[in-house]
Amino acid sequence: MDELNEEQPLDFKLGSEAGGVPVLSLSGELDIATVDRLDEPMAPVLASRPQRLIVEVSDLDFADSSAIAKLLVWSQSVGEMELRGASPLLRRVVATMGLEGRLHLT
Amino acid sequence: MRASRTFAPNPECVRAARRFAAKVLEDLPPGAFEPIELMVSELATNCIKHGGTAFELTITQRPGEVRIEVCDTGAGMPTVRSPRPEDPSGRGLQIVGMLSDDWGIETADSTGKTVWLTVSTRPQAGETASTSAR
Repeated sequence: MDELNEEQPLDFKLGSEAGGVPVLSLSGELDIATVDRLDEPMAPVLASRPQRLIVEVSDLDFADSSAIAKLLVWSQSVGEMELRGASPLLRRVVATMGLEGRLHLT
Repeated sequence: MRASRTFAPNPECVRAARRFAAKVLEDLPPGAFEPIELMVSELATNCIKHGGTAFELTITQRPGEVRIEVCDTGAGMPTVRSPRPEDPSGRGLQIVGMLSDDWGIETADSTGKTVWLTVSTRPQAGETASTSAR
């Protein structure tokens, strides 16, 4: 199956905004095959129990419930979780599921 | 138009299933594919997580409607759950229920099950003749 020969399609960048707010910028596709690759880089961030965490997803091409599950796990370790630049579809899914209280859409 | 492909039960094949759907449904009007792509991903993910056997994805395109079927021979039956906001998982079929017009689960003999869904795609005028031939 030629579809599987392509590069693993998830890229991420971990940085911070003014005030030291951690920002995880994602691009590519987040699903069951890629989502756990974020565990290792995110472990120290979550261990520090930040007051805020920004997950920038405007360059993310795809996210399914595996991604939502991971974000919800992270949200248990942070004060406020911000989902920035979500697609209309992702916004709709998050809102319809009543998750806006945990994943703030900005 | 009907297209079908079998995928191995590994996580990378969830993406392969999405790519297959994209190729089959490349003529859909803008905005119509994304919800279908998401639902294909959810059904394929369920097969990986709960079935652990190869699964077959079948896509049937009719004028104004797409039907998706995912068939596997795994023993587990998918269930719709109502996770609380703090529960991380259990949302796959919830998404299917949210984004499809109709969906269901069928069991055939003792050999497995098919999860199917339909979604309307409102074909654009002038495009139906070339894309709807069965």
